[in-house]
Amino acid sequence: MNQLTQTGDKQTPEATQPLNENSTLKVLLDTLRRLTRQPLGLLGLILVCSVIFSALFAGVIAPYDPVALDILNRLQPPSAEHWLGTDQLGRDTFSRVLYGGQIALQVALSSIALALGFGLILGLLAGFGPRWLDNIILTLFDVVRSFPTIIFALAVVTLTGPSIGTIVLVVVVTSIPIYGRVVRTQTQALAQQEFILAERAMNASMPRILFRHMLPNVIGQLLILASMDIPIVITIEAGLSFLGLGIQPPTPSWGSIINDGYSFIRNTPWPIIAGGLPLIITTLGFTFLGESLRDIFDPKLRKDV
Amino acid sequence: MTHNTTQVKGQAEQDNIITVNNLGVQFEVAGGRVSGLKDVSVNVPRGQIVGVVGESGSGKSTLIYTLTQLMADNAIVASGTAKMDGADLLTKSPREMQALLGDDIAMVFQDPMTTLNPVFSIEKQMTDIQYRLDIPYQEKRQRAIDALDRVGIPNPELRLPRFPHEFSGGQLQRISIAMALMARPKVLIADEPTTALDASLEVQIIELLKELQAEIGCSMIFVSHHLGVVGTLCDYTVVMYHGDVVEQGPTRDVFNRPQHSYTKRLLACDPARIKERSKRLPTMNSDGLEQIEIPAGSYLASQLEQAQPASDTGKQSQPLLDIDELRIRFPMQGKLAALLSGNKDPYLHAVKGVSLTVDRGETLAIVGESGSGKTTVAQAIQGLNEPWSGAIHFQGRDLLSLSARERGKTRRDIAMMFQDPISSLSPRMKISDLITEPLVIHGLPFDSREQEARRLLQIVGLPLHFADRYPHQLSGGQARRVGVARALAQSPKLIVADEPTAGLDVSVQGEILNLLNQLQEDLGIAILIITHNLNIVRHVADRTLIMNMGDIVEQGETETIFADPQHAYTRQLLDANIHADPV
Repeated sequence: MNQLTQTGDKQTPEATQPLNENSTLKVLLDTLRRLTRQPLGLLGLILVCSVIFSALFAGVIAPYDPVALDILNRLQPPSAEHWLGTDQLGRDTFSRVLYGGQIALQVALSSIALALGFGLILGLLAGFGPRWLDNIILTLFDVVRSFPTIIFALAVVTLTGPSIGTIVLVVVVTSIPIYGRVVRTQTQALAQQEFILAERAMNASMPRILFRHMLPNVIGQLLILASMDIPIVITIEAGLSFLGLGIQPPTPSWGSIINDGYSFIRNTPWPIIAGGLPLIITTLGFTFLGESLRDIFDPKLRKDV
Repeated sequence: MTHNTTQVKGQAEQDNIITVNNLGVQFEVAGGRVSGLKDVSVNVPRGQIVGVVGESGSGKSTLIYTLTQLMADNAIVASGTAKMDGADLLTKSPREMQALLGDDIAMVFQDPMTTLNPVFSIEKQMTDIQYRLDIPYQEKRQRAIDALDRVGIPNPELRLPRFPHEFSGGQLQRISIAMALMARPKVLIADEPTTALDASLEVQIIELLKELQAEIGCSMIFVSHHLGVVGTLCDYTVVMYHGDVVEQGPTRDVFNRPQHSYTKRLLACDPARIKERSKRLPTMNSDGLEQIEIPAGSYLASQLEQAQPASDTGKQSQPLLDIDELRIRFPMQGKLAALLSGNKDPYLHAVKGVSLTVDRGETLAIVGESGSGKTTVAQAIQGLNEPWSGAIHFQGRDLLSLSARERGKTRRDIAMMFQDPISSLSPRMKISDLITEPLVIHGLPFDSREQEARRLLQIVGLPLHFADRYPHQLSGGQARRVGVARALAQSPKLIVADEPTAGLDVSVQGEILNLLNQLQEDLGIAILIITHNLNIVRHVADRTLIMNMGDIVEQGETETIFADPQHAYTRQLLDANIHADPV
């Protein structure tokens, strides 16, 4: 009780001082501060930061050239020279994992950011716009979802040739409907609420209602969805690379490290472990981060107000 | 706990079914404990009705939920005992409590729309709750039919297989009561069972509860913030305030000879008990006559200076708002489907030719039950639905013929207050952003959002640090004030207030109405109040308009209508209105 009144008192002097307008930097710092207060959020932040750091500075950290062959020392277990052992061609797995992180993050972050953005806009329009627009957008979603991802990827690769860009394109197109549908359903539910009616009564414009009032209410669920999608996208990249539709050898990616490992699993489990570990770390990191971010963005879930 | 035993023995002679002694309940929250109940002692005599009154947050719900062990997980019983027929209710295991609930203790909740499971038929729900009885299904079904018949559901046999959404709110509450009483409980606990219902339904439900209680001979705990209802129904009244029982005794004594100052003020606040018509209502903390200052520098203050001459001359010219033969219908079927099924009139006619005028600085009340079309009229004024025919003139301009852009500009002069104070506020926005939003939308001059927000908070009497709060952190009364602040921000000429006092206790209700009234005097704002609460209409409205089923049945000066109602429906409404004095 005492503590309660104390925090209550603290707010008052703060409020009487002129508050500066919420700058982006202030919001960012505030979010970071809240994030580090939650144990899981802090863990997620550390994991995600270390993954990003190791990918960015792969060139500096990596002890070997990731594509340098050393056939004599193939399929080595972890040792002082090769921290995560070597693969079937004697390449240093640790260096390959670091460089593979670059590919994984490039593909995952860019494709999910794009898919989220397009999905958000299309979903808001479908949910709040006129009915004919809703019908068109939904039909488009259904058409896209009716293609199996791999078949769709095959078609795109045939037209454009294998590259990172192709993988991103395939992932973006096939994930837009997932985000779009979530946003559309949420938006439709929100549109029935009295506060949207109140905004309309105040003559709030459609973009204002969509982006100032609807968006903050749907972004939380999307962040969770996105953070859980990151590992899925990394596996799609791995799968496409395995089929020869994605990253071309000898460029390392986590997917190709695991796939290479499968062929030699009778000889040594280390390549699979080495390729799987960063995948697990990244998945956990982004999931924790996503969940904590949702809690922060939703004032109702904030525990510290 | 030993010192309580003597008390319990002493009171047992009165034949109380439930005895609560020195009950203290605390809530564990981040950073400590908050007290929910302080040393509460209440007795429920066998076969009698005990009413628990108090404003929101007074602990009345905490009391009944503690008795039934339905408290939130963070609640802790700090002291005291609660016994039913000598058996301790607080130490019962969940299994023992389960055996008791629905058998010896039954409950009726506030909102009948949400207490019944929407995916099961009434038949399924009513036969399921008889699972303790070892009788064949047909017999259970027959008992359900009898129970529905008893609570006044017409054609119970036919309606039994229906689903909750196929019943009206009043009927659903009757069904909840039927379900609660089917087990013939010893104690019925009713938590604000009429708050979600219209005035005339309220009377019916209360009559029903009274009848059934007498028939079954059970005891009843009736929780309400509505003084009139408690006065009408209950044998004993318990008045709660801040987790404390401040007064209890036979209802007649409590209402006629209140001892505690809180009870006295509470009774004095009830507009139904104020005989003289008065635009300013007393509240808990004041006599309602104090003036609110409009802070200098605010947008409102700048309008105030200009408003003075305008309000003098405005009266003689045309009315501010003039609605002529407004008709609104909603399609019930698609056009093609209607054509195919031969339905020539596939519409719900919500408003059937309504004409009304509102003058500058005047208060008009539209009174009617839910479904009468009163909210539909209000929404049409602000362009939230499309009228089928008729005209709405505002300041001489025909709103319906304006382009969307021009129409938008007129919204600057009309503000709307919505029925649900909390859900009409955008949940992810801070209060300071919410109340200044109209100024931003309409591009009106103001120096800074924070400054303007503070001035508005000052006007509506909220602490300044509320600027940084979010809607869900507000109580109903506080959210209502935020609604008023938002409606005032752009200094409108007309405020359309939809049920501005719904869910508020009498004191807060008085504060909100006084606030609106003073702003009306200062700024010459016209107010259109839409409500079913006749007690407040009598005090605040200059003119009253009674609506029923989309039609205006009667309109005129408020005093004339109350003194000499012409239409049968008006008389029915006035009769249904609950008067505060115990019968």
